[in-house]
Amino acid sequence: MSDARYGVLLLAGSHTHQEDYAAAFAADARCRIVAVTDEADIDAERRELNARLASARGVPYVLDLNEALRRPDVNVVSVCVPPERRGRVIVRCAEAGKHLYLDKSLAPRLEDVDAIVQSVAKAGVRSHMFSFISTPWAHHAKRVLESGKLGTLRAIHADTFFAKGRAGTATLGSPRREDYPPKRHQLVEAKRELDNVGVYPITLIHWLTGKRFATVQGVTANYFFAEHQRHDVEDFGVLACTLEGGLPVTIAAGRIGWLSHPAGGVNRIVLVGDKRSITVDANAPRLEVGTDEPPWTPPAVHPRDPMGFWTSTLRESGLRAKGHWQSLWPPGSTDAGYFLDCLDAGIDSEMSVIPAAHATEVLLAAYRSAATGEVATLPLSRPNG
Amino acid sequence: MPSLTDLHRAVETVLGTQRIGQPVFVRYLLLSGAPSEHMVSRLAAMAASIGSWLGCSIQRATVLGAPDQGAPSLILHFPTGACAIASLATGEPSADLTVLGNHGAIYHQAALDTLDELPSSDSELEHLIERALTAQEGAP
Repeated sequence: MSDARYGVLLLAGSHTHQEDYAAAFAADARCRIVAVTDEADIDAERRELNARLASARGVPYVLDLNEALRRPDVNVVSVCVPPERRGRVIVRCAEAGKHLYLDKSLAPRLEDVDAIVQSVAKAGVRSHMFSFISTPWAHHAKRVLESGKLGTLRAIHADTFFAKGRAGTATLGSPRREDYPPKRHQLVEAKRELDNVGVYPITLIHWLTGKRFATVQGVTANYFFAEHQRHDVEDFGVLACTLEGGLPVTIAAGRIGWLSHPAGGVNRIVLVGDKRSITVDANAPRLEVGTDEPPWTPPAVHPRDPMGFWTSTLRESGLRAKGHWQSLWPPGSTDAGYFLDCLDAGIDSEMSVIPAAHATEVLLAAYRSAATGEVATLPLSRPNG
Repeated sequence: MPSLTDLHRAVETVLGTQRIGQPVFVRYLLLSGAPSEHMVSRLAAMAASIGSWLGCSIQRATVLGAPDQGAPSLILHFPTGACAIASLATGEPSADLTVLGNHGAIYHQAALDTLDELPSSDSELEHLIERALTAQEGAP
């Protein structure tokens, strides 16, 4: 007899992070994937990609989201639509009374995230945005902070760099000119990487400290990829912030190229106390393995995913895992598994839409600061006060 | 044990080969038992080294963190669009350095005997950092 007690509806399919989220849900005995769906008026390419994941998972593709949300066997919706559609879609799912598993970042506009927070509260559903908080190294960082060994926390420095994409093609020599508010977030060959990558250290720091960001100074840059430059989206960002109470925080985040790191990229946080400081690193401690295997080389450039965003296209491009570094951190719960634990326990996720919405506000403050050269103070002003 | 001078020489050697291409971002954190001592001269020396690695002079410097808290960071902006973060913190003497280039990267985290061997910086840079530390805002 099946233990599956959560029917999961996948909102958007292939060439999104849904490929990975679907795999995580499918591997958890508590879940049964019910269907793939999307808004009815999407373009033919997105429809084909959604149908592809439905086929791969052996579930129907329900062409109309509203029809899919009426199914009584759907308990959880995993939402991976493009950022610009997330606001209205997540609100609709909440209003349908479904629990929400959400791609990062939550949504790109303040009005989106405000509406999401309100609709989730009104509907009384549980929500969770993908983040680092279920990783063993993040839990270690939290234990260190709570132990008091560092003394009084004086500063935090965090870096997250994705070692993906063929770097070295951007034209260098002048600062990037940022526009506010940012518009396009996710294209076929480029994403806004401060948003896409920076959301991880922002949410991690908020989760570790329990403090909201108070001020944000941001810089965006085009250091590595002509693709990002061509579409006028940044591949790198730097934040200098204070949390409430004045704690200083620096963050660097971006996409740096396949060969710029021995593993998948940099994921580390330095917690600076007045007694001592500690670095918690997703890649350390580690084994360093030398073999006579052929040296690792980047995969072929996939025409529908040149930057290496998606698992399926990386597989099609012949990606080999980098094996030189083997992290010693034990495999933790999956992020999806953490959310299911919350549902089982009847408690809110620690990365619900409330901290997720705050991360969006920090990112928007960073873009505004990058555009104006001024420090942005949170909360940002709303059109209606 | 290799010194800071050795670290800087090694970085300059790698940069000189252009293996990582054009350096565009530096994260440099120095830990010591008493980071508030020699704060200005240390940050100035770090900034001078970073400017040398990036091959240009500092356009703007911003300080984050109150000096009396012992964990200040200097955000450095360069006319090329390059950017850097130099920070001091409390801990066993050690250096934590990342240099990102457009074709590669340099990473280093290791203990040091002492931080006393920082290369000297010019007084103009120290003055700029002193002003930024005092004002807690950008110094052009």
